This record gives sequence, C-alpha cells and structure tokens, in this order.
Amino acid sequence: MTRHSSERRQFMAVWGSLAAASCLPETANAATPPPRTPLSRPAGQMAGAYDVVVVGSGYGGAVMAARLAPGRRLCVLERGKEWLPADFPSGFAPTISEFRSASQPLGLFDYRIGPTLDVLAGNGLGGTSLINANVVIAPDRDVFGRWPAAIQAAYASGAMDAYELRVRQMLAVDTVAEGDGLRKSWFQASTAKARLRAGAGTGPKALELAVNLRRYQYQPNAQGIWQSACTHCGDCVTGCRVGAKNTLDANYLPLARNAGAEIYARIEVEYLERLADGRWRVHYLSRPDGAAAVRGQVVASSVVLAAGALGSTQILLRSRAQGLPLSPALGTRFSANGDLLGFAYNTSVQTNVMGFGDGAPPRGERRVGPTITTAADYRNKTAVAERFLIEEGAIPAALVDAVRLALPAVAGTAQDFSAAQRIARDLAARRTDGALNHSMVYLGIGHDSASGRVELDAQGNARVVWPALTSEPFVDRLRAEMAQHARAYGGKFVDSPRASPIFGGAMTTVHPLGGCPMAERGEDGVVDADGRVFNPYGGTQAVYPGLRVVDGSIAPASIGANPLLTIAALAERAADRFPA
Amino acid sequence: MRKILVLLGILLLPALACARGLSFSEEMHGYAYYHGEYRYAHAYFRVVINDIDAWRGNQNYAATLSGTVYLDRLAGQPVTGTLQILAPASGGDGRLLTYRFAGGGLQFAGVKHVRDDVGLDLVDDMTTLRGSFAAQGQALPAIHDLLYGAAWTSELQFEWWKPAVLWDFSASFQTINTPWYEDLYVKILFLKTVLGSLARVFFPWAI
Repeated sequence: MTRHSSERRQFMAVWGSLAAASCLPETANAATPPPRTPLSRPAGQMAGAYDVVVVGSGYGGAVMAARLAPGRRLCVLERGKEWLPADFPSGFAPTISEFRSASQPLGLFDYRIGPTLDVLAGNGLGGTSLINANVVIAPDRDVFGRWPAAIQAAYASGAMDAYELRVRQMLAVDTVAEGDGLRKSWFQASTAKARLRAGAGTGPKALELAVNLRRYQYQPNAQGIWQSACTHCGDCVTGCRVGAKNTLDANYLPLARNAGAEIYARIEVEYLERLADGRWRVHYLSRPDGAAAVRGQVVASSVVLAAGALGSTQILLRSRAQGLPLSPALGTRFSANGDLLGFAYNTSVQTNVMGFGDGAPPRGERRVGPTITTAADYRNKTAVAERFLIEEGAIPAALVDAVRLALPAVAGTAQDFSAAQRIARDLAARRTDGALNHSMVYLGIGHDSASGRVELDAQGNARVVWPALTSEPFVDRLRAEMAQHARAYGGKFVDSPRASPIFGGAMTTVHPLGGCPMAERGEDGVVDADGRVFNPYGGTQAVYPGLRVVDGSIAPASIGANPLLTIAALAERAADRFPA
Repeated sequence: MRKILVLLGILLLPALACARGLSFSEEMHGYAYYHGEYRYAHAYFRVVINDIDAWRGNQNYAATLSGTVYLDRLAGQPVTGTLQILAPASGGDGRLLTYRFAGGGLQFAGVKHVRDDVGLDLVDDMTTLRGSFAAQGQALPAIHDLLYGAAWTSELQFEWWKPAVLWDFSASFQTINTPWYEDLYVKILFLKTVLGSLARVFFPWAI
C-alpha cells in the first residue's frame, strides 16, 4: 500500500513537472540542451588528396588533428561511428550487442580475446575516451628508462609539464571531494589509509578526471559543446548518456573541426602504400550508413597513424605485408601496462558501486560516482618495476546483474552470517544491501616487461601473443595487495572471473601499449622520438618522410598509470615538432 | 483479618508511590564513517523507560539512552541521548526506532526503519540501525534524509543470530520502581506495546 502511494506520488510529480514545463515560455526552457550537431561528414565529401590524413580519433589522433588543422588541408579517418550521448547503449542486451565483431564492425567495444590476454579499446569517434574512466594522471618522471633519450630529457627537464598542462586544460579536469558523498571513494580512501598505517603505500590519492562534475550545467563548454553535469550514475565505461564526460568529441575534435579539419567516421584504414613521389596512399574500407561497405583510397603528403596499440600496429603489419619495408621491431614490446582486475567481494561496508545509468538510483543508493575517483598509491618504491596503483571502480548498470550472479559462484563460501545473508539478498534481487553493493572493483596498474607480441591472425586482425604474461611479477604483487584491501573490512579477494580457469584463465588490459615502439634506431624500434617511422633501408636513423605514429602503440614500456595523459601530451609534443 | 488487610496494604503501598518503569540493554556492531574513514564500530546502550504508562501514552515512545560507543582507533566514548521505540514514521511509512546520542565530542542520529516492504525482513528492520556520526557542532542529516536520501553513512547491527547476544538482551530486562507483583505485568505492557506497534505496520486492516 505504501509502495503504491509512493508510485502514485512519483507519477503525479512527473505529470506535474511536465504540465509546468509546458506552461513555461520558450526562453525559460533552458533545461533542454540543443542536440549536439555531428562533427563528422558523409564519406562522399572526402577529397582525393590532403596535406595530412590522421588515422584514428583517440587521444593521439584528436590532439594531432586539433593542432595540425590550422593552415593545412587535414582529414581525420575514424573506423567507428560518431556517438551522440543518448545513443550509447543502456541495459544488458543492448550493451552486449555493442561488442565489435566481423558482423558488427561499428560496435562500441573493441574487445579482442586472446589466449592469455584480452584487450579492450573503444571504437567510435573519440576512440577509447568514449568508454574509459577518464583518469588524467601524470606518470612518474623516471619510468621512461627504455624510451629515447629525447623523451627522457623532455620529462626530466620539465618540458613535458607544459604539454600535460595543455591537455589538462583541454580536458577540463576536476576531482571528487569528500563532500560529494561517494561511498566507494570513502571506502577506497579508508582501505588505503589502513594499508598506509600497516606500512604499505602512501595512502589515497584523489584522481583528476576528465569529467564535467559541476562546471557546465546545460551550458556550452569552452569548445561550444553543450554539456550536462555528472549525475554520479557510475556508467562512464559504457558511454556517458548524460554528456558529462569530457570525451574527445567534446573538446579536441570540435577544436579540430572548427579549425577546418574534415572528420570522417565509419572509415577503417586497411594499409598504407608509399607512392613514387613520396606521398602516401591510404587504403580504407568505408561503411556508410544504410549501404554496403566499399573500398577507397585517399592520398596524403603526411599520414599520422593514431589508431591505437592494436590498430596502428595492425595497419603497419598489413602495410608491410603489402610491401612497405618496416623495422623488425614492429609488433614487439606490447605492454598490458601492468593491468590487473580484481574484486573485494562482500565486505561489511556498503560501497555503492552499482551503476544505475539513466534509470532511477535504487533505494538506499543515491550516488555512485564517476567510474574511478581514487587511487591507493604504491609508487613510493625505488625500483620502477615494483610500483603500482590500485584504483577503485564502479560496475556499469548493464553488467550489475551479471556480476551480482557470477561472483557468488567464484567467491566460495561466505565468511559469516551477515555475509551469507547479503549473498542471499543478491541472489533474490538487485538490492543495495546485498553482497555486490558491499564490494569493490579494483583496477590495478603496474609495470610489466612489455614482452607481448602483436601478430596478424588469418583474417588479418591483430592479436596479442604473450605466453608468459601470467608469471610476470606484477601479477602476484598486485593481487596480494588487493587481497589486503579486501580484508581491511572483512571482504574476500576475488580475481576477475575471466582469469578463473573456468572462463579461460586470461587476463584483461584496458591500457594496451606498444607494438610500434619508440627507439633511437630502426633496429630497436618502429618510430623515433618524434613518432617518425623508421625506414630500414635508409640507415639506422633514416625515417620515411611524412609518416608518423602518435598513440599508445609507440610506448616501448609500461607507464604504470592510466596512459591517456601521457599519450595526449606526447601528441601535443609531436604536433609542436611537426614541420610547418 | 484486620492484620492481614494491614499487611496487604503495606505490601501494596509501593503502587501509590512509584511510576513503574523498565530498562534493558542492547549491544550493536558495525561500521561508522567518522573523521574521513570507515571504522569498525561497537556500541553498548542501556535504555531506560522511567514511566511505562507515560511512555505508552505518548506517540513518541521516547526512552532515555546511555552507554558507550567504541570507534576504531578512538577511545570508548560515554554517550547519552534518547531512543524512540517504534514511533510512527511521517507519512504513515511504517515505524521508526530513532536513536540520538552525543558525548565525548561526537554525536549520532540514526534510525531502524520497520516497514512492510517486499519479503520477510522484520528481524533485519528491527536490528539494523543506519545513521550518521559527526563531531559535535557539525550538522547531522535530517531523519527524512536518512530514510529516503540515502544520507546515512554508518550501520550498526544487533547481531540477533548470535545466541549469546540474544541471551544477554533478553536477560537485561529489569523493571524500575515496580512492586514485585507488577514486575511481569510491566514487562508484558512493554511487549504488548511493541507488538501492537508492529501489528499496526503489518496488519493495519486488523486494527
């Protein structure tokens, strides 16, 4: 009876507000943002030749396009489609159907399954910014030991600080505060402090996030894109339906477009061909809306490959198969950035980690928060390889029920009566007082040996081969510390279900790096410190004029932090050094 | 005969002098968010109803509360306050056990919310206290926000599934200023009031 009356109240409230809104004069209707106008053009408008073709629209490509567009004829080719906030999937089935595959090449999630490692990347205009957790964090200045001397010097001298500042400003970073009332941030801070008291790590660190937490409320941002403020729904990683994430299509890409860049989505570059006049022919597959896919070419004086660790490596591996000589290092030094997923399952503290998307928050859970807000910082070790971060996470609404029902199966018996009671509640229904909402998702980021290798499979798609990955020291190190976090409030540590032998025993990285590693010489790497691609037939330091790679694939080693700031700052640097 | 009447009169004299009362104690465990951290929490309360008739006669069902609160890494704090036992919630949404106490620099407001929601969870409702700790002088959330705004940050639970806890609780009931022959009656009055309040939540059609 009580329920009925509260439903009736809600119903009346909705009708009341609709009625009130319809009575308002037109100008008072500011709460409805104008729809975003698409950034991309129909493929038919593409010219035959450009000064610069940028392949990919993630943190490498979007920055390069924005900085190189003024004064140049430039186009951006993105394999995925353009997403408007309301188009992102909501619910389990629609989300699962957005996994990219041969039959669904425009799917939002490029999830490549491997024997020991799965790789997740975004697919769409804005690249992985569409589905990441927005963490903007600077790497330690001394983790660049394997990088070319020029990059080491740029970090050591402070030159990179200015590029990082540019990126932070463009991405309009902000941090959550204690007063935001996010239980998962509080929980993470509490466990990190407990570990600090026990002598491990340096405690909690509030992370800078590329999220519009409070700056714009139905207002145009600095690039004129209308944004709403974060609703703390916890669904950053399945695409922000609110338009609060500062994804690249809300900052760098509009800047590029406003400077004259032509942006084309649904264009997947297959390989590059070097022309006799030194220019490049870019071979692509176009997937226009409502029509069959067609192959095409576009010629460019300069090509910037920014298709991601797997994407750029795949394009170069295919180009080599088509006759372009490239370094023997192509495909090597693939790193998972020391990523490890885990759970603190069924602790005694309610954590509010269940994303609710654009539905109503469940009773007892008003706010979840941006997916990641706080790290427990373990970077205070002298040896770089021993450093790591453990970041807390929310579960996107689409996966809440799957995880709620899967974890009891892998977690084993409950610790005590209350824990058993919480599991029983979870099995009965989605509730905020169940075991899942007393749990924490952990994303660990450390350092690995970057000894994975990217190869093409029979269909010409990149895959990662890394048999010894699970015996890398970072795995046990991060797992042991996550277990300590789990125990701090009586929870059980549970590995990512995918890591269990039942589900194949593979690890997952959301931060693929390498494949086109930077080096001083063509024998050791694919590109030089400016991202220019080595020509193996021209001497050890000879490069192809007009061919660059600028994205996560050029990292020759793990970064030990969420890499978006590093990738974008290196792109800012590469753009600065681009010949006028 | 007269002697017997006088003796009876003397034995009944206390009934004129005293307000019959009742006290009991309660122990709870859980967690508290206090000073920027979740802490293991443990509370021991003595609840006193000085006048059971006055208590029954007022819809607030207010009793006094005193005891000690232990928060992780802080010394035990003696606290005093009030407990309203199954007072009607506003809007007719069930009944509330409202705890408010302060002492030793901290204060607390919290509720156990007994309502007829989906499933059989009367025991959980009756034993789960959700609220907020704050340093004295800071604002505590309003009861309405604790109930409907998810503003609570701390959870204490009476561990009813532990036989020792249940035994201690049952054995803690003592009458105050009550003539010996009314001892059981006062306890029954208390139980009757509590059960009556619960019945109004779960069987409103029968009352």
